[in-house]
Amino acid sequence: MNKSYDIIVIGGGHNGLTTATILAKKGMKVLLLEKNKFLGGIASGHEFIPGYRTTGLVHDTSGVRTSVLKQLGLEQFGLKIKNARPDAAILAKDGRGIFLPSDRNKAIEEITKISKDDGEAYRDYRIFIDEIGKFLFPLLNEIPPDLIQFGTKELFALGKKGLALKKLGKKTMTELLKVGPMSVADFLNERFETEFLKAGLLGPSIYASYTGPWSSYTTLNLLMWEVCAREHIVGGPQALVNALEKAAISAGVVIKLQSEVSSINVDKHGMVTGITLKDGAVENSPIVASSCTPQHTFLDLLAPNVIDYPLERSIQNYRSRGTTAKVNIALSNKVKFKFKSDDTIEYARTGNSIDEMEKAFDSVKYRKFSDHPILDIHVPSVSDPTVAPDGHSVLSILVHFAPYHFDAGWNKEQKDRLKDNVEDMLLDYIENSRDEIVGCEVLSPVDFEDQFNLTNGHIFHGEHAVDQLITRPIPYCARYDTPIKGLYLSGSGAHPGGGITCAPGFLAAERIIKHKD
Amino acid sequence: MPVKSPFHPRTSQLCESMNYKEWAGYYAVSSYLVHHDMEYFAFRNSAGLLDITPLYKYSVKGKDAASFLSRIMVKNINKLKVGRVTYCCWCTADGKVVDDGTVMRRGDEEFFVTSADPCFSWFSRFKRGYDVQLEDISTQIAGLALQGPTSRDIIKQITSADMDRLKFFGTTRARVAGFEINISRTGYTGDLGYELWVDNANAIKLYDLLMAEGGRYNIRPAGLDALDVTRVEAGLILKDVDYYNALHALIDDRKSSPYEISLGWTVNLERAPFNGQKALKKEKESGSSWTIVGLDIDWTEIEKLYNSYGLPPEVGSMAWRDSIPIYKDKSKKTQIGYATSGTWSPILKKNIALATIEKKFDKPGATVQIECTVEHIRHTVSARLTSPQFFNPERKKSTPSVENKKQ
Ligand SMILES: Cc1cc2nc3c(=O)[nH]c(=O)nc-3n(C[C@H](O)[C@H](O)[C@H](O)COP(=O)(O)OP(=O)(O)OC[C@H]3O[C@@H](n4cnc5c(N)ncnc54)[C@H](O)[C@@H]3O)c2cc1C
Repeated sequence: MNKSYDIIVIGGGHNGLTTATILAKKGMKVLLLEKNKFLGGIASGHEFIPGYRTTGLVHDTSGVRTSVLKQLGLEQFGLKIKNARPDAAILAKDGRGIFLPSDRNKAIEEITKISKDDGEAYRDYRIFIDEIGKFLFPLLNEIPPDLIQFGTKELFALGKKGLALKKLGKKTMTELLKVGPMSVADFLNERFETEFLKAGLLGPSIYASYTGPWSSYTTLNLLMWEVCAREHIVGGPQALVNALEKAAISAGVVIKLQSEVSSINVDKHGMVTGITLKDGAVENSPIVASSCTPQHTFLDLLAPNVIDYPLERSIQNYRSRGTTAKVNIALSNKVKFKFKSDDTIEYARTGNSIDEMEKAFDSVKYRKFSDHPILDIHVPSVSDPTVAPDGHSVLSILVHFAPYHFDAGWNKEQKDRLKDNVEDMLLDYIENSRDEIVGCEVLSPVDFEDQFNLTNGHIFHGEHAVDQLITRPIPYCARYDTPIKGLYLSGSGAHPGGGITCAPGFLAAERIIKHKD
Repeated sequence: MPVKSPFHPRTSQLCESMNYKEWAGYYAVSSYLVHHDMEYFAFRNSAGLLDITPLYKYSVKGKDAASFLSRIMVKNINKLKVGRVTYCCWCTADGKVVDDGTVMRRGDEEFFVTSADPCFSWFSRFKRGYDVQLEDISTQIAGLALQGPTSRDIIKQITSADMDRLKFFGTTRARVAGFEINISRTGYTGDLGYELWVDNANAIKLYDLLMAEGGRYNIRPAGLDALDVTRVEAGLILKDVDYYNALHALIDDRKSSPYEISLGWTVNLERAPFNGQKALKKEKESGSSWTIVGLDIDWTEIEKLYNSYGLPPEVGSMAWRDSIPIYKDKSKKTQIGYATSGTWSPILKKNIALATIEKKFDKPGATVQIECTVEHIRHTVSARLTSPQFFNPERKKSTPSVENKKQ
């Protein structure tokens, strides 16, 4: 075989860039192929109305793994990280709100203003998160143990995990085992009294997971998010992408944009030989790391008879039902939240009450979007005024729940309806008036799929359900390699899952290096 | 309650014995007369007419029909020529047989598949990525098997389609008294024979025509009891008797690969990936554990054994399908396998059986012991290992027109 590259990485999202750069730094000849005209995938920002930019389709960068950023040497390419999660506000419809600074003591102070009991409960909650973080965080930063070819080595590895769990001490361990499978509603009801605080806290546990607050195992999702939310990137996801791009180029990664892969080529022995692009060009390489979704990788890019039926079925059954839409709003003023009269709030989330959130989720089960959606709001113009004209603002809003499988169909009329719903909701929480809205962009799950080949528009490349986290995406390829020799998964569909983390991309690279040695 | 095939108005009139079986949800005649011997001899000496409507039938059409079927079947269907039929099996991903049947290529992009078990859902699973239309036409099409030495002559009376040129495992469209049927030179008797596929609406017309024209050629309606004898003589295996559908097997041990059930010859390994390819390649390299053999059971020993009780030898006149232990030798210390079906073969005058034995004991001509119970006591008698194909007459494959030309 004429081997042109040591490895081809499909997809120039932040995980693809991470895999490519780590391997290029190890001396491998790497080709990275991206469908779009730009890098970053769903971490990339764009100008949605002339003069107004987002800093990422996405906005929460609190889960990014600093250990990986260090190995990539991103600081040298201008990346600035703050070693704390961003401050955030929790909003209630009646104009109340709680400001939650990343500094824990300050947060407790703020909560205490509303409820003394909740202030104390929050302190205990944070201590619990710290404790279980000692066990959970490492799990989310290493290649998962092999649960299929289970031998002594794996038993030993699992045993070590068991020991780490035990090391938490009896109280914390029992508590973790008890609350993990609980619904986040039950979990928070046991601890807190202020309804809108609970609603705000639980947000991250149900974003994009096809669950409502009353669904079981949502506590585990909340805990995972809490344990990982430790940092944030100055300038948002786009800043990460910029640094990653520079690092990749300096490491020698060959980057080709507007290069959509149409097939991963496999020889008759079931070994990867390279890829073919949409325009017919063929690139050869014995290793392909795909950072696009597992379903796109297996069901669209591989010829149908290449994968065995049980694998195919397993991938088809992998749940990936998009439930998130995006609304970007340009505003001719600073954003003023009702509960706090200054204009420095950059992150805010709504929810109002557990039951309202459950209802917002209910709608997607019936293939409708919610008339009262939950908003996860980022105002990038607060820390980076250059994204909007002077004195103006950008609101980047993730809207839950809006389904990919949408009976009415994602046409202009429905998008306008969603936009109206979001604006109505938003105006409940901010002082600004509708007249100040300069323009709006609505992106549906179908748009995500069209632009980034996100299967069913799922923002995490597949739901964060317990079974899909333990062996992600599916048991046959839960450790980055796949039954097809030379094919690896390196995007959010691999362990430890979606989000701006760089973790799957990094761990996939580690696995590839291990296999090469 | 079983349902009636489109031929039922006729077959039920003829079925004097009232002896029916249930076959795939249909009433199926076991024997028309109280004993099946006349029907058996029709298969072997003139022509037997059997209702095979209960077979599952699928139509596969479309641009990718051939590659779609090649992905499912162990045989490379891309290579099957238009107008040809192939017999093969299909496997799970771990190379275990799901079912067996025939695939007929009626056009570049048109196939007709028969199976013993319902396979629509199984086939459907593999449609992704192929431009095909798969349709279950089991209840739209009726089938008749006309098998035996005079079958060709009878069909020649009802159609002008060139039966003298239709080779063994060939298929053709044919016009019959104002309607179209499909004829394939296939069957389950190991003899000269045809299967005729007709729309339900014309089923009775076809039946009447065959019976009317077949009279001169000693046509006779035949049932499953007679068929069973002929299929054992021909060494043709039967699902759920000689092997289990891997999807229905309760335990792994009950699953078989094609190599283990004498269907290794149907496997085309070196080609584009198909279901079970990897596992079958591995098995081909490392060898299979089991194989199906023929047993020629020693008649004199049976006779002697019965005589020792003061009895004349008794063998059932029907084909049997029980699991009978096979031993390496008289000591019965080593069981090497089990017979799955057998019969007294009237035409060969032999007591024969099909058996699954461990591959390492498969030495053609070797003598093994098969259990034989007389007066409630288990004994063994000797049996010689042979090819399962006990009966294979030349006429099965002969084509007069081609042979005449050669002369
Ligand atoms: C609207 C939205 C909001 C989100 N909000 C957050 C958030 O607030 N916080 C958070 O942590 N996470 C969030 N996420 C999830 C997070 O952004 C993703 O999990 C993560 O960015 C995925 O990165 P990736 O590199 O794994 O994949 P992607 O960014 O999806 O990269 C895959 C790349 O592959 C390219 N590609 C696909 N198919 C092909 C092909 N055939 N050939 C070539 N290229 C191809 C795509 O164009 C894309 O650039 C959000 C996602 C979305 C969509």
